[in-house]
Amino acid sequence: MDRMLRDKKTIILFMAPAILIFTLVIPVPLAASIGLSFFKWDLLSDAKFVGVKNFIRLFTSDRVFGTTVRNTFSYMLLSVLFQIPLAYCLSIFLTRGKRFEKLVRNTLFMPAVLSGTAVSLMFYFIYHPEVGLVNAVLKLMGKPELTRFWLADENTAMVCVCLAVAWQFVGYHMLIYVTGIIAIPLDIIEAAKIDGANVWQLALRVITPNMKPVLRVSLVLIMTSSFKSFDSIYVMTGGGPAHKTEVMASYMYNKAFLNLKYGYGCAIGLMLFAMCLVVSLAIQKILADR
Amino acid sequence: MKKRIVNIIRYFIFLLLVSVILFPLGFILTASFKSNTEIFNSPWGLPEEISLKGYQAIIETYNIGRNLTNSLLYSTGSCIVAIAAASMASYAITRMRWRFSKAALNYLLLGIMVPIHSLLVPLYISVSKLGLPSPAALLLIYIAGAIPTAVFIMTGFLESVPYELEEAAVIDGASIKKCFFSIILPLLKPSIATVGILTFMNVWNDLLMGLIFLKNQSHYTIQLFIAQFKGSHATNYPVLLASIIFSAIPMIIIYLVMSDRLIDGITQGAVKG
Amino acid sequence: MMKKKIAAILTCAMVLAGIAGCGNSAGGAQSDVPADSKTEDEQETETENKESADSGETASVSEASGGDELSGTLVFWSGGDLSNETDLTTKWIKETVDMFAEMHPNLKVEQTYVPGGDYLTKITTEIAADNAPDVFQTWLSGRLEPFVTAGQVMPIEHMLESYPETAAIMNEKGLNLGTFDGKKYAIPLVASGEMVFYNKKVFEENGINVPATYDELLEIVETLKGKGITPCNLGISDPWPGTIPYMMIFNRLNGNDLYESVVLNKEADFANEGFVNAGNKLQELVNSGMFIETIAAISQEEAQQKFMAGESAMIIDGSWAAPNYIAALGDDVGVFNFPEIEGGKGSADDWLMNFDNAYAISPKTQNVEAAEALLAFMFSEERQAAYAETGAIIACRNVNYDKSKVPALTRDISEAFESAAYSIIPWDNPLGTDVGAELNNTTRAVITGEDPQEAFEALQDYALDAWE
Repeated sequence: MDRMLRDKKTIILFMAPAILIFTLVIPVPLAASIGLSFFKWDLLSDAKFVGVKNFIRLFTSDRVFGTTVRNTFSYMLLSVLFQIPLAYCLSIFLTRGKRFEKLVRNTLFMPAVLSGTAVSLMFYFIYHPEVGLVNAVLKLMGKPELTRFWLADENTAMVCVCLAVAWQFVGYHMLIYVTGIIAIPLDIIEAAKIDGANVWQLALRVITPNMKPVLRVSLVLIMTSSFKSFDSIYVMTGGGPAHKTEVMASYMYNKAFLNLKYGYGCAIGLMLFAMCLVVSLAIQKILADR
Repeated sequence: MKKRIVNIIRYFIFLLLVSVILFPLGFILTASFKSNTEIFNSPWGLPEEISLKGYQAIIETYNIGRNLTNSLLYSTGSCIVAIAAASMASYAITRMRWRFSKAALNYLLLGIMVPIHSLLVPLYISVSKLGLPSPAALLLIYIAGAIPTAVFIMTGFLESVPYELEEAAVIDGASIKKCFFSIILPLLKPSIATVGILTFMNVWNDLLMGLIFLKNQSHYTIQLFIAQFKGSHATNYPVLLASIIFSAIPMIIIYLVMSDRLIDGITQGAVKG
Repeated sequence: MMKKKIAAILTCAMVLAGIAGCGNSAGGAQSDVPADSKTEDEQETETENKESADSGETASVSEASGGDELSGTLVFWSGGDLSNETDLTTKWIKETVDMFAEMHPNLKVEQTYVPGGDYLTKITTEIAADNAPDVFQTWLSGRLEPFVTAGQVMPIEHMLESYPETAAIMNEKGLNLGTFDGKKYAIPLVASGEMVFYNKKVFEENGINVPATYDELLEIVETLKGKGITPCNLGISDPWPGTIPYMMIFNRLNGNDLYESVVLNKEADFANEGFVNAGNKLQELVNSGMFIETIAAISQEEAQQKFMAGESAMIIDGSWAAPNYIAALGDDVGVFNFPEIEGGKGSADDWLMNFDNAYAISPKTQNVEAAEALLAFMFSEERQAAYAETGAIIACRNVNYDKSKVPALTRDISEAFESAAYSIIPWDNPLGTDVGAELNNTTRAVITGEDPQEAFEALQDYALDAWE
């Protein structure tokens, strides 16, 4: 058996597809990306070596890039604020062993299986100044002065996008927490109950410490997905108004694929990668189990 | 008495939660049966007269069937290949004995840390310079994107499974391949389901990759198809709304049929990935 | 964004007869389109050729292509959306290429249509990958140049020599935009311009006339507002339409020198007071209540719907939208150019005008003969006449077609174009996609209330960075 398990040919045969496909699509372009980011290239004429100029530009003269970094982080912060506390409360509220709980949980989760494109289009319509639901509700409540151009207003655009995203994913994060809560041994909870702990004490002292791993997971998920956010921005606001919702991914798309600045696009992509890596490692570190 | 009030409040909140989710969906659904003028004049309430114009246009003029088929092909195609490649690799990594197995695992897991979004430009350049047909290139990218998580889930699972079954089989004279196909694959079923669901959903719901790599309208995925409605056709609301409903229905059906399996798969994928 | 605009052009049918088209505009048009000097001579030769070209047109095209049978494969690419029924241009292109394929049964013609704004990206990479289609849609001037510099476009001189009847209907002004180092590379299909459309009925009912001055325009706005009518529709949720009134105001205030140096020659000077003043004026116009209140939130398509529903007296839009307006409002729709501003250097005879949707041949083609034949067939008088009859404003000239099929508004617009004293190319075209898009963001910011001084200073920084 040992000899069979050491058979080089079989090992190569079994590993080859995964390694080959993976290498071609991730590490090779990553290396290429680093190389390309030192060039100015529209793909048509020859690539021109410009050294670290692309990076210098990102941090000095390109004001929009700074805005997109800030926007990416505010997207992240808003997503965390809108999703985690609510999902957390819901997960506790919906694991009390009552009737219909599971039905409610499953319904809350459902939007997560839809595509970002569909949900964003839906909210594009809901926020629509003339035919949308939000302004219609406000008018019905007799508050027409509160109606706005939700997605075209510099002050509300980003919040509205993040609310749409939260609508889609709150149920998803809630379910992640639910799996965490269910995994807590029953006797711990029982013991606390016998000690006379009420719901809040239970949540704070017993459930929260045990939820650290799942909280960490959902935090990392929200943060990394914020770096990848594209669909919702592309569909709902197109990065506008005045770059107020432009995030790094959509900016990279614009620069590389619309303005044909591929080298510069690579540089933005690398920054995206680096920040994503730093942020997720930092979260892992900060919330590490001691 | 107090308990009853608590319960009433509880179920009231339940109702509220469910309607927060269902109301927007219902709003879109009812509006999709209205005519353009009715959408403008009375966004509220049920349609006065059910108009199927939007749906008719989507099916007949815009031929949405083609886009649904494309998406189905990309999704199942990448599911099958990713599962095959990842399960073989996971087997070789966890069961077979070679010096670099740990290194190979870590190498593949690096992929989890790399957002594929950040590599779009070099990918795009190499695909165009190599002259790969774009649907094939797209499929390859979807597969590669799925492999790291798949390997993570599968190796994790296999490590928790004892060797005895395989040992017994080998003593009975089974080859490695036989071991893999008749013992490991059946064992892996729950992981395969998880990976399959995750991959299918990610590919089905992807917009950006398709946007970049697909050129020909006849290769468009369903997400690309509906995304185009925010632009030049933005004023044809019934068509816009019908296209949203159309793209959502397949996922909702899958969800209703196998919600437990799906939830399990997705949350597991999240927690492990 | 220019690309949106191209998409818009593609999605709308085009009504009008050629800009400086059909009849000769003689040497009269003093357009400042670069390298225009040849125009007059060429036009004379064209006039001479006209008679013979008209009669022998159809026959000679089929002769030239039918005589020695074409074979092999020919790849054709164009922007356009086949599933969009109102996209008459793409429909016409498809029909033309299909006809061509039928005429040459031994030739395999592969057609690809890329919808929306993605065409530039897709064609660029296809060309970069050495997969250039044999015949493809491209751009003109600043946007064609990189393709030409990279040696990816074949000069069309040989084609024009081989197909004199196609050469006879060429519009030199259009060809000039595709001419580099004295060689012609691409043929534009359409002519377009931007203007104010107005609803004659609404004007009449409220006792107002087409404004001759900016002050009269402001009075009209007051009158209409007093009656609860939205004066002018415009939708800038996608910001490009907001730049149209800006460019008009800029011209009326500053004339064309600053436009030529900054926009055409890319000498970044956007913080110049000329730009800022135009921004202030635009803001003044916005504050006067000229535009629909939801301007920032709606798209131009939505604004069009409102204008067509009679909900506003005016809309600022491109000539490509004219067919839709005619379909909805019939004879009630008219056009005028933005009025002159007292003390300004510009003129209401200066029009925003351009040529679009050019077609070219790849030098990598294995089938030069077939590629030239297809291009010549697309630009044959027979096919151009058919295109003009769909209501398009064709770029070609001297094309005989059934003018009774063309509505009155068409004639108004084409006359306006012919009488143009100066043609301003819509800025985002020469500025390029990057700075052009940022200009659109800037005018949007000004319209929504940002300080023009600051907005244009930011644009200046942006342009310095991008053009560096």
